[in-house]
Amino acid sequence: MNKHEFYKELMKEYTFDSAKVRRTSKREKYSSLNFTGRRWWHIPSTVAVAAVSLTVGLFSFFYNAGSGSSPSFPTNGIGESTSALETATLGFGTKTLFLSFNNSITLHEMRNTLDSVSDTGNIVVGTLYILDENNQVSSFSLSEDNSGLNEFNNNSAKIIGAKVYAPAALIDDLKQQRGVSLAEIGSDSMSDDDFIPLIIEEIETPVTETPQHTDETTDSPHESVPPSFEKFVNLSVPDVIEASFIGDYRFIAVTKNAVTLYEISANNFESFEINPVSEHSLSNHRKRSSITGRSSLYIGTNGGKPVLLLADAETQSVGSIDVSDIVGSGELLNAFYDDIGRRIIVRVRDKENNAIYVIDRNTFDVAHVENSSHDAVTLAVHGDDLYFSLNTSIYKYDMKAGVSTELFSAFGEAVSFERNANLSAFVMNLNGESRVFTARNQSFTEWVDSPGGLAFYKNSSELLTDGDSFYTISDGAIEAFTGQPWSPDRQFASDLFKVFELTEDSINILIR
Amino acid sequence: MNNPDIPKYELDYYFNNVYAETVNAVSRFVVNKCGNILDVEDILQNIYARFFRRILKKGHSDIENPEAFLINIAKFECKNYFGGLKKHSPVSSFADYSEEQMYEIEAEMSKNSKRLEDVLCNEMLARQIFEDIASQDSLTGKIFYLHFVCDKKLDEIAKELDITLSSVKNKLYRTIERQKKKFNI
Repeated sequence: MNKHEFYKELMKEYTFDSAKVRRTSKREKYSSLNFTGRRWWHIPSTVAVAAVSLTVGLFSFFYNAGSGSSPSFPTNGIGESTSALETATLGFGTKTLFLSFNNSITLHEMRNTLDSVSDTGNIVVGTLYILDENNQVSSFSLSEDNSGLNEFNNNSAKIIGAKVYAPAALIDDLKQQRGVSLAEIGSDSMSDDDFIPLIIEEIETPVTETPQHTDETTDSPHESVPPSFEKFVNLSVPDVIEASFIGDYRFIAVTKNAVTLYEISANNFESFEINPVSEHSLSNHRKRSSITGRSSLYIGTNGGKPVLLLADAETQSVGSIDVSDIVGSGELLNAFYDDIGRRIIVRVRDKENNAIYVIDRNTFDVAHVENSSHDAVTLAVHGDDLYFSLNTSIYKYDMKAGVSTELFSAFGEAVSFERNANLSAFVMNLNGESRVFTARNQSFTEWVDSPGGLAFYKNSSELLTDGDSFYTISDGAIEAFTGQPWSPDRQFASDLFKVFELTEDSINILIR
Repeated sequence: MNNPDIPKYELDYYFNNVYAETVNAVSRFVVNKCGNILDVEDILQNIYARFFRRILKKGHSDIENPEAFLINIAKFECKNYFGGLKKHSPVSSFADYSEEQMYEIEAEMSKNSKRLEDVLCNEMLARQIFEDIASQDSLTGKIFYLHFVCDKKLDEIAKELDITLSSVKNKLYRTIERQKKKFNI
């Protein structure tokens, strides 16, 4: 390579990221199934409301749950809980959720919907909202130990909503169920009668302001579903256990013994072909997702040798790294990407020894960070510096110089560390106090009182919580956060397709 | 409201094709007009996002020449981004490179070196070198991009950027020489 070529590659690579520009230019704000999209919603005229066209954020239709009497405007409860939905969807403990279903469903369908999220009985149904023959809504309270649901034996009831109690960690999964149109977190001030299930019917053309509707829209309101919601592509993959997209047209299918990369090609706009691109043997595998949430990292074996398998959303390719040299006769415990996805940090245990290695994805150089009888855990990575805990001390390892320096020691006292999702910072909890170390600044914040300790909120890299309150880091200090807690949205690798469901031997892919 | 008649995958197919066919020309235009090369990615993203939103809403059957269409968007975006073009002041602080000096530098640049490949593979170092170019002044990054990526001759670049040929040479060669010492390349 000469300097001309060098500067050509350099300027091409770093002036702008062409793939990123192409990808991010197409990102819309997805409405998902929540009421934030740009769709027009149709209200059936059979319901006792005035038909009006809807715009985002505004809706006005009327039910009065409980009494079946004359309609009224939604209460403030809906407005409050809708904003709550946009924000703090996770935390700790159990949450009260008010679910609205896409269409009226039967008891059996509702059970299936909830069971597909969790079938261990930790979603308890408290109240059902049922549409009667006059299209009025009544609420039906159940005893809150799930036996009430068993006692509700009206299998033909049209259920359009439900109040459920569910672990906070299941909220996202509930929201993403196909039959669930809205999931709202109930506030303390809301009663069952305050909730009004939102019936949403989508049509392809906007509704104008008239009480009269054509036969096409009133006779079969529940059948006017845009074709894109019912278009699937199916691929037969025996014994498939997992599938996910790593690009607009590329996805991986994981079986017990292999990871295969597939590519979808649209020959025309009516049919699709799916062809395998590469297949990689991998047994005894476990998945370790990267911090971007779209690339996947697997650890497993190939022909008895320990390997890392990388399904990379940036390059849309799958590759493997044989790590038998560093694992030796030990066990590959864990592996994950650093904050920019440039390096892979690997933990190995060999009898009583624990070691951390760092593999550069570009050069495949391996740095041996630490070897100890104690558990060495990576806490943060920034540039050439890796921070890890060993026993009750924190060390900084300079990957360029190959030198470790002790930063802090708790001298055997009970200390816990909580790292954030992108390995840019970690919390240290010690003796009822907490402080945060930021790898970029290479410094700690001041200590703050926190009897229960602090941790990062969900996959946020900036927001902390003690289970009740929220905190953020500002000017080197931990401060109370009084706004709406947030967590970065999960990103989808494909704007066009989505893995809809897996059966025993096939993958159903939904065309978005 | 999105155009309901065009499936999303069809729009995506069209967008991807247009992007592949036009990104070189559009990026060259943006580099030419931008204040600093570090702004190029943001501006390009704005341009293509605006284009995508347009075809999403109104389709693309009326777009006869996508490149011309995008250049029009680019003009608008560059104007919005910078609030108007500024004339570059001429560089006069350094003596011009002689023909002999230029020949020596060019000859050295044509030599192969393994070290350069290693540097490119070292992302952090490569990015430092890039940012060293981009942070010089508003012109140096543009000159590097137009010369090395767009294969423009120095006199063409001088004309496009409305500066003297000696300014182009000074910025280019002095940066290359300086980086040779600073980064050992």
